[in-house]
Amino acid sequence: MKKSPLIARLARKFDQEVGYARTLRKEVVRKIFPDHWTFLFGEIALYSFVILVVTGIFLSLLFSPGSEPVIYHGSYAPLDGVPMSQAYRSLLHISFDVRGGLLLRQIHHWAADLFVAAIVLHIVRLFFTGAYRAPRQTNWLIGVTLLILAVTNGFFGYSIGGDLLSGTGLRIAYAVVLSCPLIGPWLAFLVFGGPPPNPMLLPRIYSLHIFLVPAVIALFLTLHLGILWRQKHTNYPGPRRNDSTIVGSRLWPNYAIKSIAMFLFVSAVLVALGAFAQINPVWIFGPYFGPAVSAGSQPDWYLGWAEGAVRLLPRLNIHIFGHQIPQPFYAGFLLSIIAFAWLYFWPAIGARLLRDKGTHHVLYLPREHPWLCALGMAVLAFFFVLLLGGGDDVIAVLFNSRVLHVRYLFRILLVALPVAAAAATYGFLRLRGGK
Amino acid sequence: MNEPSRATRALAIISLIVAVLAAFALCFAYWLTSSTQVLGGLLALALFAAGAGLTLWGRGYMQHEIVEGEREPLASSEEEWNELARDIQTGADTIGRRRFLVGALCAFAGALGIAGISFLRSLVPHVPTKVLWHTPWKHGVRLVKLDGSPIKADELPVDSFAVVFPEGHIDNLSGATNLVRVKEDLLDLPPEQKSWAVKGIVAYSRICTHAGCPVAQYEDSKHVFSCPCHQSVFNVLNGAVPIGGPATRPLPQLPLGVDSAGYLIATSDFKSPVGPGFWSIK
Ligand code: FES
Repeated sequence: MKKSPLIARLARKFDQEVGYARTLRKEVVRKIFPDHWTFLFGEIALYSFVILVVTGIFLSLLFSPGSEPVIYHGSYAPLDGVPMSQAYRSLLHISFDVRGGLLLRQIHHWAADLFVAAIVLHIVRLFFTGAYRAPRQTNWLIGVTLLILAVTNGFFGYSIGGDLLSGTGLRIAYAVVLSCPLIGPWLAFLVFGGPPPNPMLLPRIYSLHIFLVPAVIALFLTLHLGILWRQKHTNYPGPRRNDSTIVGSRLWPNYAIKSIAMFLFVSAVLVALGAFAQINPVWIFGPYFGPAVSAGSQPDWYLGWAEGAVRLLPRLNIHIFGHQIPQPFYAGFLLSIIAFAWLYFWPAIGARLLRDKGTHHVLYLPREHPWLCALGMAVLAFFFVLLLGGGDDVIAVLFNSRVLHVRYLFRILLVALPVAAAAATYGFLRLRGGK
Repeated sequence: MNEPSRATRALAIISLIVAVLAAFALCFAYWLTSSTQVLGGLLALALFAAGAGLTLWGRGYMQHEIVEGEREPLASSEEEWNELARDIQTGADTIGRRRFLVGALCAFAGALGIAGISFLRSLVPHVPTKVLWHTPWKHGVRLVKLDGSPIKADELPVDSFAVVFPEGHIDNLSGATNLVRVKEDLLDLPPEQKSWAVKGIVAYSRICTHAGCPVAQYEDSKHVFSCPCHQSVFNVLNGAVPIGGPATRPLPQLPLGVDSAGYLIATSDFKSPVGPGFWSIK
């Protein structure tokens, strides 16, 4: 008799210890996955996270977040002899003196941008097809939490470098937290250790960035996937698809091959971006020096809307009980709270609007609910205008006009575009045969 | 197994060979070059070719079979749920004086939680209000430039603009101050701030009261500061009151004087906190 391969013998041995054949066959090998391209966003997010962890471990072994002042004498000549923080020096070291360092740094940054983008697209898909309905409300909440964690960790990530751009970003973030009523000063000092820059700041954020937040992300991601596995995917409406069936291809081998290929493609795209598309060239910004500023400084795209809100929302001199409510509070803090609260409550709100609290495993098509889709498009348009508004000074330079004029235009758009988007969506979906 | 078309099979095989070759090339390239483009390009090529090869292989050889499966109900049956509840209840019944035990454990957890939160205090190095209301400026501290040199009032030409720091605290951001000299009769300061200017020289905190960026630009034709971050504009002549942009609070003014050697000094700290606003500012 032919001897079975080593791996099979080892697997059999382990089965004799725990006995998993039945479960593995039913829950993995024969598991059915629906095929639809819109189901890929979550997968892309997952793979981006894997790449973030791999590249992040490499970078964390080389980076030192200290803020002690040092004089640079590395191989990047333009900054030779310039005083800077240890963190910034180590960033230059990784970028210029470590083989493959710049590549991994850029892959890491691109992966973070893709991670958040994929989560956002994933949530948009769930919203427009009703995947937030019972029994998936809990998993929706976990997903929204993952979005918040991803954005937070992205911000932490590009803030620890000690460069001028991120130093400015940290000061603005500090101002937003500081502006919170009542607890603002204590909260800001708890997170930032005092007004930036200060010696505690970078090591503290670094620790959160490489340890605490990723651990929480991993935890929620595991829960998210666990629930998904148990509940199985939804199906788009179609023949033989109803609430007691699941239609698609089996994990082994079809879906496994597709998914591995997907992982390879996501990695390939991120590596290619890291190799050929420069991102966050910190050596151009120079080291952080308090009294200086880099004009036209922009946050990463997923915080552009917050920056835009701070710019576009008008100044209101609000006082309650003789206390000040600074503009960064309602433009930065309050808006984020409202946005995420809306997302958290959406399964409940949606069920009310649909007058349907029942369990669904078959999705709806956007055209079946034009009103809901119009609402979703309006919200997207609002944040899109804020995102563009975060770069109003850059846009003004681009079109050779004055920042204030651009800003007024964006303020008008902030109201007009959501209305227009909602109307257009509603009209379009009705034409396509909605009810 | 499907029989793939010749073209598909050829492409799949070529892709996989390219993937292997690119990966091998990367092993050598690492020792030969530190070029980001070469290393990244090879790695991307290897990954992409492997992905393409796998996809083509799958398309060609595997059956694309759509299968239909059952969904079992997710919720436990009424019976299972009741059994669980019963077992938990039975177990609980064997614990004597349950109320006391539960109460004690809750109190314990609550107290420990509060103790844990108290430890967060150790992460806050200074009491915020103490830090936020103070800068290194005080009576008699000289204004110095970035290179540490003090400034004589008479040496400053009209319409000049300088960044100054408290002597001995040049790296301190909260002390960073914008110094401007204008024609004395143009100044229209609030009554209680009139005496803070010296010969048309006024000094204001450089930290924007909106979100804390340095207020870096001075337009001498309009006598305004503007902040590059969100374009707040402050009128230098009347006490740096914001006249545009999102800022709502004037930049705090530094009371100026001249010491016996003729150098500019501060006569006190700023009277209100520098930088972005917070709850306890009136
Ligand atoms: S920080 Fe100066 S305008 Fe916002």
